[in-house]
Amino acid sequence: MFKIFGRSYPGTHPLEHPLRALLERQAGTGDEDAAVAFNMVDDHRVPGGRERLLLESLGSTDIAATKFKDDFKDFFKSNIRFTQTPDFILPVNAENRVPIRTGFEGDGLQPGLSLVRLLDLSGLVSVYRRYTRHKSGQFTGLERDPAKFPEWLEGKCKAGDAAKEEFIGATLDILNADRKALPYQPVWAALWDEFSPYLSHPAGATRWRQALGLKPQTSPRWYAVLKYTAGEVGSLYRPTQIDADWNCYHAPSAGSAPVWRGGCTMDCRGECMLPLSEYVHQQIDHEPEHWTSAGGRVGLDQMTDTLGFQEQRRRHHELLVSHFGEAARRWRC
Amino acid sequence: MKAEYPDNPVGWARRAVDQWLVLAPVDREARLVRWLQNYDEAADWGDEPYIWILNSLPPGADGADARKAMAEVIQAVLARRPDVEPLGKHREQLLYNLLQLAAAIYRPNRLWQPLLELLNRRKLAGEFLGSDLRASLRAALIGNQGDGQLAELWLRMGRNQEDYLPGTPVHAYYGALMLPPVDGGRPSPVVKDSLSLAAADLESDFDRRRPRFMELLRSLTTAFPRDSARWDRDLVFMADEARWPIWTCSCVNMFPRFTEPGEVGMPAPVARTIRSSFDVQISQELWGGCVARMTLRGEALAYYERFHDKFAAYLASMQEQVRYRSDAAWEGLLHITLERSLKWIVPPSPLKTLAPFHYLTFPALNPGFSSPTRLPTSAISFSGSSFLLR
Repeated sequence: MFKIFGRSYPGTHPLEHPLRALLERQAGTGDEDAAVAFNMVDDHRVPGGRERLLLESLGSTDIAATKFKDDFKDFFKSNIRFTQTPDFILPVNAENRVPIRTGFEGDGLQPGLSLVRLLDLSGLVSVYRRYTRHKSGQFTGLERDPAKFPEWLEGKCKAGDAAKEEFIGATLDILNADRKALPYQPVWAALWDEFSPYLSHPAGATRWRQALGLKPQTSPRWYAVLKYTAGEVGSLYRPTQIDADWNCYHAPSAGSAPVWRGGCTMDCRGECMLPLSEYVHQQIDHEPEHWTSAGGRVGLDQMTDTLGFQEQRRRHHELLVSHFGEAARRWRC
Repeated sequence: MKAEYPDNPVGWARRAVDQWLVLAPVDREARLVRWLQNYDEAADWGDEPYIWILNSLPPGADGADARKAMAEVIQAVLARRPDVEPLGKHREQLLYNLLQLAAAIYRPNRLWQPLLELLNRRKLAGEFLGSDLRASLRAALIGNQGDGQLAELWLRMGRNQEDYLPGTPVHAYYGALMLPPVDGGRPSPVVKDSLSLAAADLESDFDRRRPRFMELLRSLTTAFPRDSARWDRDLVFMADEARWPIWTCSCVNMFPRFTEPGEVGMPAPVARTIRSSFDVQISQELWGGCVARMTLRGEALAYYERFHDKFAAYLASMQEQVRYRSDAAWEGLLHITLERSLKWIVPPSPLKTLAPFHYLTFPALNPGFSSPTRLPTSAISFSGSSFLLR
């Protein structure tokens, strides 16, 4: 029986037709749309309540295969990306909420546990341009010639330590203000303890991005490393495919993995011996210490992934099977 | 602030907290102090005000912002030294709720220093509704440790030697668990010692000590998420280094896998069976000789895997039966599995060679159940059911 989000349904599920169409045409070709379709079939982490929200948006009858992808992306934008109350913080997603310990007894992540995220500085062009009159004076002149942004950013990122610290401090300051007016969710985070060995890799920021399983972009990008604690984020969640947009670089984590392990990153090099735990949370205020405590790192990712998506996904699947046992094999690639 | 709130207690509480958040700092403090004494919106909900406040906090980033604001006000109230200069009409209720709220709000950058000063003044006294206010201070300190200063205090409490802050060795363990992680991701070294002290404290409760200690271990493994195989190894190493009581063997996976292929751990009697039957040497003894480390190949590895699977299946079955959750029951299962596993070996290993090994090297875990020094080998029964029933 055809499954959606790891569940069987009596009769025909509204998503069965578009997903079948994507899978029958492109399965086994390494096609990225087919990979997302497989994820939707197998992502057991999507609760029934969130599935209902998705169907309310897509419509519950006659969902055309051709429109499905676009409608899904629109749903992501309206319900996750650009809202102050993304679906993953709603009670319908309670089963993916990762408990965080307090001073009382009980289970949960140690709140002092360090998380890490990569801040894509190159992706902030529109934010920087909104704050050209910022009190720091760091972003003055950007509005005049947007085409020179890469060159401008390179100058900032290659500046001396003190100048770089001022620039990152100002960047975090405008992000803290911007998130209240123009949210951009979710934030993806990994455990510092698991990620930190990659910080000293000779490939630098390219390896940082690969270890976290972020899809390569068409041109090099600057990343800053931020380190903060689980106790600072308010609420932490295990991600689902719905939180990842139409992104084939996300993959469901094994059903046997407890919720506090979060999701599993898919290493773009296929070399990880253990998948890294990954979580999502809402944007929070970042302080300069979040950057300095991570070593004050800024690096240029060259976007040089040579493995290829199909092989990368196959290796990730094998890693999950070896790690979580045969139960993970039913997840397909 | 939201334009609309549900017309129910949750909505009213959420609106009250949102309105509080937009107040000037001095007004926030005054309002919170009233709330914590069960006045205004916080009054008469049946729970103590700190629970009403916690339940009113929104999820996600808004909740983080609200907690940050709460922490700022708690810091300001603590700066007024409410332990020596009484504040409010209901001093005990205010202090109780203030500290309980601080315990649930992780903000060490704001709360750690004032709480530490409160502890060091040693002036906090009294109780609220039968609860010692110093117990609330303990909870607040546990939840907001900004550095490792209290490591010694938790060890002292674990040894029942702490003379000011009340608490059991189990409380002390939770205090150690919440010490700032080493390098942002590993438990403090004090955790393994505090677990040893907590185990010693639980020791006399023969029937419940195993499930209770397993709860403590679960709180550790969920606090620091990592690969379960790594936790299996780490727990054995922690037990070895801190010399946890032998009965706690029953609380961890005694079949850890180490990093090299075929390199595994197992209870000593299993290792001795493998050594005598397959001629494989023990490479390391851990945890006072209870766990043996060996590198296995071929038939020896196959025996190990089969033993492990069988024992795990028995254990899973046992866990479902409440009366068989003690470490004595665990030990009985190990005996049964050992007894039955002998026929897997070709030629079958005689039982009589196994018995002395077991009782000399792996003493009965439950001191009330049997004793290797008192029980002659000839008197040992390997009837599985008799072990389970005792």
